[in-house]
Amino acid sequence: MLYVLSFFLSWLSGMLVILISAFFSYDQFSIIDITSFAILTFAGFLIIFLLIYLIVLKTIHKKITGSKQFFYFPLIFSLLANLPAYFLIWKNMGDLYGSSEATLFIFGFLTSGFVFGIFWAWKNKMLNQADRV
Amino acid sequence: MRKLLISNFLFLISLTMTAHPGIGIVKDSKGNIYYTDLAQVWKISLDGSKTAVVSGVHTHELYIDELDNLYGEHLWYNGESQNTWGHYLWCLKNNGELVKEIKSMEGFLSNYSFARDSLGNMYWVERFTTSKIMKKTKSGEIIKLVEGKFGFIGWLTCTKNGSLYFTENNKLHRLSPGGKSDSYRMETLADNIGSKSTDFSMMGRNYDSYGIWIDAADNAYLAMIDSKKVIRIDTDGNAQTILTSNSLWTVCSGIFDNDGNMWILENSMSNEVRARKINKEELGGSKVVNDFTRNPHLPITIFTAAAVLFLFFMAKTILNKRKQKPFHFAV
Repeated sequence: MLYVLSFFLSWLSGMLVILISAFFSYDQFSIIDITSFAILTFAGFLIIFLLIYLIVLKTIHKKITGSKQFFYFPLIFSLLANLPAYFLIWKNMGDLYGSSEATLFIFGFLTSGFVFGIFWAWKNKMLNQADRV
Repeated sequence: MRKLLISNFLFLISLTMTAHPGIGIVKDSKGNIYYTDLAQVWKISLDGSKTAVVSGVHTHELYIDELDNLYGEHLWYNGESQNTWGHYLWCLKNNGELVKEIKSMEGFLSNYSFARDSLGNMYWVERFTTSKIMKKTKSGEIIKLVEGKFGFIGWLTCTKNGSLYFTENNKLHRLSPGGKSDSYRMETLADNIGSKSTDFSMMGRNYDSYGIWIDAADNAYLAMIDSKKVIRIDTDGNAQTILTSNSLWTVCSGIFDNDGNMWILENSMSNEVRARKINKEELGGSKVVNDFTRNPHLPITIFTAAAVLFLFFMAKTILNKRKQKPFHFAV
């Protein structure tokens, strides 16, 4: 359940940042734009979540413990785990979309990775507190 | 697989976005409105009733002369095996008779236009590396009015006195007849009329403006096909948004009826076409018909923020419940 929640929370947070950034980037952000961003980020984040995030999470949660998780988890997920996404965004720029759209995609994935990292650090902290009690 | 999904998705979007909507909306001397939906031509009578007057014609433009004869074309594609186009020109006479003005021919209409002045002179654009704006007099003489390295020139609109309005990328130009019969003066009425939009919306196009129409006071009205609004550019070049469509419909062209009401031709995402009357009271003065709530961006952003908060509190509730359990499994 928490995996599903963390997926949707992270993806929607990324989408929210894209939607807010679009107010400053574009005069008009139509339903086509919103749908395009929503579907592409959802598909991209789902693939990254299943293929990278879960594996990385399993690898690092025992190596990085305590309050360090609040620093390293968001950093790792927003930068390192998202590298394939950033590469694909850069590679398809010009063919599928322009530089403005690429920037918004990067903002979206940065946020999704950041929220995912913070979420699991927070979750571990809460349950560790319960353990100590 | 991912590329396939993206390609399919973008293809579906491009089907709607790269469509080439019509701009044909005209009125006769009695005030009846005629418009094309790219499959037939409709007439909206003064009592509001709507009837199809010409069926089975794919025409983007219409022209109606002073005698209420309605002109249009029928354009078709002969399939990928031949990869050729065909066309004929039709005229719905004022007595209701439908005749072929130009018989079926291969290719596109050439040396012919639906942009005409009251004398019957035709005007068209030849778009190439160096573009030309041409005029054909009623006697058949063809004259080059202007030639130059323009950006993309959109639809041409002609007033009764022969003034031509056209957009070049996101600039609006007017080409007015000078004192002599073959001298024309070109002036830029407004520049930077486009809006900043995403590549998803602008796919296949590098311009925003589409149909142009003029009111009795010589104000120019531009259908901004991407930003889904109509802007009015007054004779001093000041631009004002007077109408905004919702996300599902895009204004492509328009015309003023005899009472000063504006009729707009709108195209939907699924390529449906409708003509809608905007009362003159809604256009007058400084009142801007700009319903911000019709823009889906703000409500969807608010909804997304609410969903994020909901998921956060849901996660918090689940974690609090787990804290109370004696055993749990960390990640």
